[in-house]
Amino acid sequence: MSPILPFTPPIHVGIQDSPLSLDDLWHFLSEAQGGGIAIFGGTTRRVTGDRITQELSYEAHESMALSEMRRLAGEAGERWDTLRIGILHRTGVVPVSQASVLIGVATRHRGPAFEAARFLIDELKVSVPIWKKEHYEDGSTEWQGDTWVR
Amino acid sequence: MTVTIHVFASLRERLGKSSWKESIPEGTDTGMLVAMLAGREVDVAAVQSVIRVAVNDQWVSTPVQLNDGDDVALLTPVSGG
Repeated sequence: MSPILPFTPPIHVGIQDSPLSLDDLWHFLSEAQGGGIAIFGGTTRRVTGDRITQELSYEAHESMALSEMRRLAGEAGERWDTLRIGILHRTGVVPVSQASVLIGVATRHRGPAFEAARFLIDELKVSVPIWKKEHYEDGSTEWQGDTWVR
Repeated sequence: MTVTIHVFASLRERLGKSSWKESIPEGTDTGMLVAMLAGREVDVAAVQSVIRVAVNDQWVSTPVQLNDGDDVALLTPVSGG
C-alpha cells in the first residue's frame, strides 16, 4: 500500500522589474477554491522618521532569491494547512505607494492564511537575497542596512 | 581551480563590478576565500564582519570546501520586502 504523502500546495514565485499584479495573484490563489485568502503587500513608504522618500529601488541575486522564495513557501506549506502560496518581488524602481512584494496564501480556514503570510514576509526579509536602496527627496541615497564606516 | 565571485548592491557599487573569476588553490574554503578577498580589497574588509556567503545559491553558515566552477556570492545584509 503506498504511503499517504503530505499535500504539497502549488507554489508560484516570481521576480520582475515591472508593477506586480494583485489580480493575477488573486486569480492564482482563488483557483484553490479554499475558504480564505490572505495577501500581504509591502509598499514604498513615503515618510520614515524625519526623512522623505522619493522612491525605492531593489536589486536581487535572482537565481538564489527565487530558490529561497520556493524554499520558504515549501516550509510554510509544511507548517500550516495551506492550499496555494504565491510570492512576487519587484526589482528596479518602486515608486511611493507601489508594492515591492506581494505574498499570498490560500487556505481552507482563515487562521493559517494570516499566520503563513506573516511567516513568509518575516522570513523573506531575513533570508531572500534582495536589497533595497532608499532615494530620498534631498537627492541622497542609501542601501538599507549598510554598515560602511569610512 | 576557478570560482566565480558575485557581489550585489552596495558592495557591487564600491567594487565597480558585479562578478569576476578567481583562481584559488585546491582546498580553499569559503572562510579562506573571504579572508583573501578582504586582504586585497578594502571594500570587502569593511564589510567582512557582516558578509554572509552563499555557494551555488545556498546559504552557508560555516566554512565549506570550494570546488572548481562554484559560484560564490558575498552578501551584505539583505533588505527585501
